[in-house]
Amino acid sequence: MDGKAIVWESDWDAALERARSENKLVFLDVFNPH
Amino acid sequence: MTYPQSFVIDALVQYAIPLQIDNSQPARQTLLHRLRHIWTPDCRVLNHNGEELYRWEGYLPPAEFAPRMLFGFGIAYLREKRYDNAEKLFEDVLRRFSTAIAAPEAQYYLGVARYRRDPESDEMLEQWAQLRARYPGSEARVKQSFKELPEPAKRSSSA
Repeated sequence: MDGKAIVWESDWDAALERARSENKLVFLDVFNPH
Repeated sequence: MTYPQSFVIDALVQYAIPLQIDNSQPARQTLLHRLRHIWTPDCRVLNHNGEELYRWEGYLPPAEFAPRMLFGFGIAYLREKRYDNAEKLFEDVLRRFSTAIAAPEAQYYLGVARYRRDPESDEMLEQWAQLRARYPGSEARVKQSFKELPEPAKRSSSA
């Protein structure tokens, strides 16, 4: 690892709004923490 | 294990907003039902309207995850008719991850993207000829086998 980390959105609507304003896609990862 | 890899991070944030949902949280169950979620990891590429453009499930190590994700972004752009972006991503997969599981599909859909951009050109068949040569045992090769350029004539060896 080189110190980088992904800053994940957890809010669906906020992620879509950011994608719209930044002209990007959304990458959704549904995970299980256990 | 996959996401700390810098080449995965770089590819993800270049093209997408990362959104993560914990499937153990009660408050998420309605959304997960709507998504028809069944297994983890469950990876989707969406547009800004929340429409699903690509998906896959199950673990992939970083060297397979990155090309699968880039391929997924390419398919997303193809579905959005953003052909330049789609082609660039398929070409990136083929250049950087030519032995990845996603590579034959990238070669196949590079042909599709070229065709969608210009149905009159021969570029789809040219890309599919490369698919035939580079990935002869792949599922993508089977899918393109209905339409192809003739095999180049084999040169006879001189005595």
